[in-house]
Amino acid sequence: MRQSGMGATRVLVDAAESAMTSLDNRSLLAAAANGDQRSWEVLVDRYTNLVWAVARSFRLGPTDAADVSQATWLRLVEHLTEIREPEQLGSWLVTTARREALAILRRAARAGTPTGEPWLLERPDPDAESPDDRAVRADDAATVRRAFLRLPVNCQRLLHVLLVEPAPTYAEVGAALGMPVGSIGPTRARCLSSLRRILTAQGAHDG
Amino acid sequence: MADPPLADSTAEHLSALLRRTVAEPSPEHVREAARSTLSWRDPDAELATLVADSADPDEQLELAVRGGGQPRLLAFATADVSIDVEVTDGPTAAILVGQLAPVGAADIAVDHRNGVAEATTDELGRFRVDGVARGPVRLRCTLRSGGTPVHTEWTLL
Repeated sequence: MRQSGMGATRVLVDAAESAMTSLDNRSLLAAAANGDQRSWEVLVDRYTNLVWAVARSFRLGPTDAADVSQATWLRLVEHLTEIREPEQLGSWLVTTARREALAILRRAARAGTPTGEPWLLERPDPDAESPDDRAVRADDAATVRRAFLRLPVNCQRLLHVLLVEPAPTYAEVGAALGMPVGSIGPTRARCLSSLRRILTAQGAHDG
Repeated sequence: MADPPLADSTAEHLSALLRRTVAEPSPEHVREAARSTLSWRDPDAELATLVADSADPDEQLELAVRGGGQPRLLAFATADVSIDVEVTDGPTAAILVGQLAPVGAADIAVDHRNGVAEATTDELGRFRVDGVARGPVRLRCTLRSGGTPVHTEWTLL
């Protein structure tokens, strides 16, 4: 994507953009509360993947997950000036999203409607997404996906949230999953070991 | 067979593989919808919080007594105003039947995914709104007698 000749302009645009995107939550919340749409968008971009991943980690289908995301952001709009610890905004958002997701699951369980849509969406060939990344070959991708889906649900949820970009803090992950921060690291290690074991077993069968 | 075997990958390599194959960024339409939510902000309105929800775990006992298949009941309140709403299924969307207290003529607008559904209260403060798309929903109540408009919290139907 690097095109020579546009470099100088790009640098200026990037500088302005990065000045904005590096602002802290407190400044962005205050600006958004005064109606600054661009500040709001920076906040959304900062956390939208995390909020989405939390909803999806509860195995909500795309429609329910979209509702959870929207309800979460609308909730923040209502409380823009009341976020006491802006640096904890991510935790506030995932806690809200988690609550909405659990409420959907409860209501669905009561109504007897299944929410079980495919947990992992079909993805395009990863090589096609990123020509620079030759690390993942298509067959490896399928193998890893299959192994991931054989992990215990708790591991799937934890890894799913940990994979979010930009990387969530452990406080945010703990809030998203309702688990103590101190157990995240060890659990992650255990889950990756399980994944490795499953890959070994798969290799033995598939090989 | 993979070379070296995937099973021998480092934690970092496994994480990178998962990031490329399992991680799922929020879809663009979800991001766009989130970006648009700021326009719903109305700092001049008074926020009526959800104080009771028959689908809330704290209400399980009541629900168990009442049995399943009942309409969902929501209660919103500010210090001065309460809005009780019963949610039932309509042919294509939800129907909200509600009661505003204290009693007074008021215009009710319900913001939902597909637009706004409107109604006015009767002399007893009752109202009925049809065609409310399920998803995030809020009610806006404007008393004919004036005063600060009351907005309910956004609530997922």
